[in-house]
Amino acid sequence: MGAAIVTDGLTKRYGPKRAVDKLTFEVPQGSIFGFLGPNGAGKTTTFSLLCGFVRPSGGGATVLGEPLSRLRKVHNRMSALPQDARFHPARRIRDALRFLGELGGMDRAQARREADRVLNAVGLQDSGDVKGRALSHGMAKRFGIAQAFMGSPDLVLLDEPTEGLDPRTAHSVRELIASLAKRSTVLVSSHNLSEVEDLCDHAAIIDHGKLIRQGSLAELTESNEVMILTLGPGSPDPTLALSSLPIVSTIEASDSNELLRIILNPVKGEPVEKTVTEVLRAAIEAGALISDVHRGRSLEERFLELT
Amino acid sequence: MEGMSGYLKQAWLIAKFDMGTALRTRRALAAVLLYTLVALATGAILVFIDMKLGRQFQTIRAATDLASHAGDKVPSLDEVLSFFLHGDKEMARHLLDLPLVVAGFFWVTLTFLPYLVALVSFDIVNSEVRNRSARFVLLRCPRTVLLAGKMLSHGTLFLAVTVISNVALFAYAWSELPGFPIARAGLLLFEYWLITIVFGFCYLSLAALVSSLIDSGGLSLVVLFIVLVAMGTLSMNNTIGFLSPSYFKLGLWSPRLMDVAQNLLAFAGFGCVFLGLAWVRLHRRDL
Repeated sequence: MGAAIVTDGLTKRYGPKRAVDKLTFEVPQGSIFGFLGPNGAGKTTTFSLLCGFVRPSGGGATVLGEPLSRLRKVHNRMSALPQDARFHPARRIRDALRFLGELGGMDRAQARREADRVLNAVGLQDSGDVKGRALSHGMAKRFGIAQAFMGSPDLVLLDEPTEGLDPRTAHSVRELIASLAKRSTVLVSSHNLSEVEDLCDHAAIIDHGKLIRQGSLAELTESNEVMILTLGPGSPDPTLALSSLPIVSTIEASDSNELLRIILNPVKGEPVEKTVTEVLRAAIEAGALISDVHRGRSLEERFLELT
Repeated sequence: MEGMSGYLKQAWLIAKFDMGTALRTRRALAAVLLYTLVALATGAILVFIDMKLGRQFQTIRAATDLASHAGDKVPSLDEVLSFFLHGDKEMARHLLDLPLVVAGFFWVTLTFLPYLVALVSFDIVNSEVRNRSARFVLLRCPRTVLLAGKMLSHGTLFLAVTVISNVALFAYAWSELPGFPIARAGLLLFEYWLITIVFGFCYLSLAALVSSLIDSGGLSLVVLFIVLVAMGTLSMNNTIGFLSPSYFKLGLWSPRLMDVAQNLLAFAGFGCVFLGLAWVRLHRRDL
C-alpha cells in the first residue's frame, strides 16, 4: 500500500513561532487517518499546507505523488473541508455548490446532480436557496462538508468535520466518512477521540507542531499488547495463574483488585486473538468471574499520556 | 481540469460567478449606474453646449484664424491651445476639430474611469482572502486562474459600462444635434473605446495590486484613491512624471497614430507590471 500523503520535515514558521516543526509522517493510501493534537498543536496549519493555502517555510510534502508546488496537477483528485472558510454571503448555497462542481471539472448536469446529492447527505436539502450570509455556524460547516464530498475524490482532507454539529448531523457525517473507506484516503482531524477510534484505522498525534506518535490504531492503543480484565464482585484473584503464562509480561492490579491491566508478550506471528483466548481461559480456570474484557488502552488515555 | 483550455474554462467560470455575485451585492451595479449617469449627464451638457455655442465657437475660431493669418497680433485659437500642449499645434488643431460631444466624453472617461475602477474593484482580491472563500476555489484551480477570473469579471463589467454609455451618448447626440457627423463620431468613439480598454486594464491591474497587498477592504480603497491622486500629481513633473501612467494620458489624444500607439503601450506596460506584481504577491502569500 503506497502513501497518499508523505511529509518530510514540513515546517511553517510565523515569525519566531513554529506552528509546524519538521513534521514527518505518512498517510497510507485507502486509510482513514486520524490527525490528533491539542488546540494550537498545528493541525489546521498542516491541513492548510497540504491544501496549498499556506506556503511551507521548510521541508516539503507530496500529495497523491505530487509535491506541494505542483498541487494543481491533483486538484481534480482531492477535496478538503477548510476550517473557518465562508463562501460568498450573497450567493445561494446550491448555486455555490454547482459552481464548485463545474470548477472541479463536472459538466453542468453532473454538477447539479452532485449539488443536490451532497446537500441531501448533510441534511441541507431544504436550505439550498439560503444565502451564504444567512447560514448558522453549523450550516456553514455542513456546506463545507458538502463541497468536500462532491464527486469521487481520491483524497479528502477534513479539518474537524463534526465540530459544532448536532449529534444527528455529526452521525451522518461520520457515516459519510465511513462510506469513503477503501475508495478514498481520508485525513481527518478531530477532538472527539472516540469518533477517531471508531472511524480511523491509522492516526498521528502531534503537539507543538511536532509529531509525537504515528501508527495504526492498534499500535497507538497497544491493543495487541495490553488487556484489561474487569472482575465481578467476589471473584477469586487470577493473578497468580496468569503471571505463570509465558505470554503475560506484567500484571498491574487496581487497589480494589477489580481491574487487572495485563501487559502481554505475544508470540510473534501468532494472531492476537489466540493470545487473548489463552489469557481468558487461564483466568476462567483460576475461577475468575469476568464482567468485562477490553483490549488495549483507550485512545483518550494514550492521547493524554503523549501530549 | 488541466492544460491551457481547462484553465481558460475555469477562469471564465470564476468570472461568470463573480459577475453574478457583483450584481447581487448591488455595489458594483450602483457604481456602474452612477458612472453611466454621470457620463450621460456630461453628454447631455456637452450636447447642450454644442447646440447653443457650437456655431459661435466655429465662427470665433475662423475669425481668429483669419486675423492671425492677416498678420494681426491676435493669436489663433489653435495657437492658444497649443501653448498648453507643449507647442504641439497639430494636436491643438486636431482637438479643436473633434466633435465636442465625443471629445468631452473621452475626457470624462480618461478622468473618471480610474476612480470608478477603484470604487468597484478595490477589493477584487482581498474580499476572497478575508473571508477565506478563495480556499474553496483554490482547492479546484491554481491561484493564477483565480486572479485571471477576477480580472476577466471586472474587465467585462467595465467593458459593458463603456459600451452602454458610449452607445447611449452616441444615440442621444445623433438625435439632438442637427448635422452631427455620424460616421466620423462613430469611428472616433470606437477608436476611443479601444483605447479605453487598454487604459482601463492598467487601472484595474493597479486595483488588483493594491488589493493583493492590503487585506482590509476599506483601507485598500483609501490607499487606491491616494495612489491615483499621487499618480496624477507625479505626472505633472517633467523629470520623473513618466513614472506615472497619468503622464501618458495626453498622448492618447494625439492625431498621430504612432504617438497614440506609444502611449497605449506605456499604459499596457504599466498594467502588465501592476498585474505581474499582484500575481507575485498572490503566489507568495498565505491565503
